[in-house]
Amino acid sequence: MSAIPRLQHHFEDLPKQAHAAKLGMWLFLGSEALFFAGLFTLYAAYRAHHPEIFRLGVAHNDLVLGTVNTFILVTGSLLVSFAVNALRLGRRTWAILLTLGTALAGVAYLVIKGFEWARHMSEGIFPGGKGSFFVENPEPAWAIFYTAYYGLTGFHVIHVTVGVGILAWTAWWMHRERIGPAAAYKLAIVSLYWHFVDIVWLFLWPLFYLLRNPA
Amino acid sequence: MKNYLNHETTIWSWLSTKDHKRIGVMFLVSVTLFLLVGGVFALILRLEHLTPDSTIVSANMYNQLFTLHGVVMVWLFLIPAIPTGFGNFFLPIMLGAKDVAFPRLNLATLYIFWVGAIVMIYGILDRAADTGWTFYPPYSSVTYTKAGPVLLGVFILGWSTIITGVNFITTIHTLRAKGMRFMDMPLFAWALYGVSVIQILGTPVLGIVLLMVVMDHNFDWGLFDPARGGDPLIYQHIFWFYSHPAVYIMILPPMGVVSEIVSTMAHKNPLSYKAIAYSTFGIAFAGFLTWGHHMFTSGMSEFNAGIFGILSMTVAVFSAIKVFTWTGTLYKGSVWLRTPLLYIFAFLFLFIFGGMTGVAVAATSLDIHWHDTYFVVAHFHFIMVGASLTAFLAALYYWWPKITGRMYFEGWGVAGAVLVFLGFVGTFFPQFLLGNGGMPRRYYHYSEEFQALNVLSTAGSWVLGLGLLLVLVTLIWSLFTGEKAPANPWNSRSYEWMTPSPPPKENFFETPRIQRGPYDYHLPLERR
Amino acid sequence: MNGRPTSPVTILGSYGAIYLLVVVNLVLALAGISGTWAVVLAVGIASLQAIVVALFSMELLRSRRSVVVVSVIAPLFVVLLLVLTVVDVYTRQPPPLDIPPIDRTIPSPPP
Repeated sequence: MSAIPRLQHHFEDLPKQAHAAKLGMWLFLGSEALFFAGLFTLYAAYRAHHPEIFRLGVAHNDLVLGTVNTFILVTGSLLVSFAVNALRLGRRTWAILLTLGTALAGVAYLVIKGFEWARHMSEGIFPGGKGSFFVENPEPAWAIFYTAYYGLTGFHVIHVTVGVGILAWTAWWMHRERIGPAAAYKLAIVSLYWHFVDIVWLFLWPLFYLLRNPA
Repeated sequence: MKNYLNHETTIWSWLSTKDHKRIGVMFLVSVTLFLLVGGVFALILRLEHLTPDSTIVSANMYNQLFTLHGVVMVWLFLIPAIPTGFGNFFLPIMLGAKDVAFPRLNLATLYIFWVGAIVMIYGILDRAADTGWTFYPPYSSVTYTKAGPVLLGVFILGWSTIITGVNFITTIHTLRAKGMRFMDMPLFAWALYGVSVIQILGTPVLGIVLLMVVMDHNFDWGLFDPARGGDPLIYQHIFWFYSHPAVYIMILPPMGVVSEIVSTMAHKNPLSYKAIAYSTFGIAFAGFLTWGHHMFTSGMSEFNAGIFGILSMTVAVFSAIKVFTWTGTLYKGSVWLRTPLLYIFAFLFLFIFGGMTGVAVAATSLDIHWHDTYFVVAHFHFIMVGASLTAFLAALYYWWPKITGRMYFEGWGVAGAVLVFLGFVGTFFPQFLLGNGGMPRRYYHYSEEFQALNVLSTAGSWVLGLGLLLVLVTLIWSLFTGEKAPANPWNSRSYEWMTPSPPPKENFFETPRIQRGPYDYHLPLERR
Repeated sequence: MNGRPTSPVTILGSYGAIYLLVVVNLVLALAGISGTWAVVLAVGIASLQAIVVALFSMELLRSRRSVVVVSVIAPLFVVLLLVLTVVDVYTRQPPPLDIPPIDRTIPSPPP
């Protein structure tokens, strides 16, 4: 069979070690939630300040691309859930392929996001209220809307990128048999991170793509 | 005999160690170094304030000095000191464990700390920062100083704190010795649990808001620029959401130290173990509900001011529970007056002052007068120096035998404690009077009528500095000529005294079987 | 965490629910829902999705209590920060001043 993970000297037994890894990851994700909290607060406070311009800004975003990205990320989560299952059942090849599939979904998301940003920039929209768009639309709130947009989506992009990297790395380790069914908890922990990143997007999507309708 | 210090002596064995004890010692040395750096900044500030106008530094230098004094003291000393120094060293031993849950991550926190410190020092040596440790926009967005690296340094340091928090909580949940329930842990472990909760929930918020300032300062993002739709108060909300709980990060570990030393030196179990344990979590959570009291005069809505004013009162309840419990523990105990307990007495006295003035400034109507005056400065120094630093020194003396295997010199210990206490009161008590009399903080010039009290405060700072220097010198000296320490010089029942001084690399020679509580003074010590 | 694999039916079922909620959220937006209700529903649906992901994909349903406590506490604090900050903005009197547009034809003052 595949590699048995090494029991570290200070842990009583392997289930304890696995539980410690899980608890540690959840605590870390708790901190990550608070990391995003400041940015979501920024958005909420400024939307309270400038409700109409924020609504217009959201309406200006591409609903199709945003929704496609939502489906992509949710599908990525689906794939990694099956990957963890596959590894627990000893189906290593499936686990590797599904993990890589999730990573691919992440890459697809990044490509689409990059495309969206490029389009904004071609319209003269840059962070800090710089660019021709803000000359044509001089109300101050436009600047903060788009800076918040770049800030929030940019921060999320960083997390997706890190997630893609870790997924690829884990797939590699599974291929090299350093993670096998007995160490499926390691893939499960990575999947926890990915699900978190997915959850953040499920909040970003309505805030930047759905809340667009005039009263 | 082989112990954790001498079983391997190469530098590489220290730099690559996964031993939580060695990591703890390296952190202790690091934070002490930065205590000295921050202290030097303070001494220069006090020298400057000998006269109402220019004394020894320029106005710009003054602004940078008070900024860096705050930044260095808060993030390079007060927040890490007890958790990374004593927490790392003692948590596993107190739980009967061989190490923390994630030893390699633990070593990483030391390196992350140093990377953060170096980035910050680079900024300091270049053009520092002059915004105050609170980095308020709009000034922090436009200052000519090198706020960027200083902010990034703090951001990096935050990761060290968060990972430590994750490590400690996981350790407490998964590595307690067989038979040790949560209610059997030494109270210091509870303090570390509480502080870890705050670190995990709060520090990321600081991280993101500092990143926002970096984007504003270095890339002109204008996130808080009203001309671009921004609102500087949003910064303040997010900043203080962390920075108020941060002060509880700075006080919970000292409170844990107090719990340990009080029981040991009074040779008595705590008046109520549960009161101390639960009030720790009371402080940890209630501390998050109060941040707006830093913003009473900022333009925040009156409605919010009302909410935060009321909520701010609640935290004092938990602190009071602890103070009464400690006092009740000392009462009718078999009290052994030694240097650690002297510092604890100083703690109790000064913490009450600091805490009561905290309740006072939490009252919105009073804070309108005191905000941004030396009254606030005195209040938080009473807590941060009078309580936190004092408890750090108490811990240093209390655990010195266990960590180093040497006894400190009791006479010099007493002398140092007296000088520190008198110097502290001399430095900061006048500042209550200055602030109440209207002297603003962070001002280079002050009105002439304040000079007398300022001179008094500066004189106090010299006594305090002398006391701390005495502590440092005599402790280091004891490393060479102090008598060898026994395993349990205090006859304490707490678990870290069950192993030799200094401990062996594996913490215990045989897996400890915990058959009594950590404060069971009614039971005799085990025969060894 | 190594333990029993989850049944494929459960996995597909939970993701089916998430996809469905995505569609619901989208339909509501396309239908023109606006104002406070739009925010409440959109964020509410996102929260529901987050709960489904947490319970099933992140396996909270079969996790120990310590893990569940973490997953409950963290979002509460996110809400705390957000709510009290937004309440400040909404309860300020008088309302924030209207800021005139920047005149970009004149050079900005030096720092």
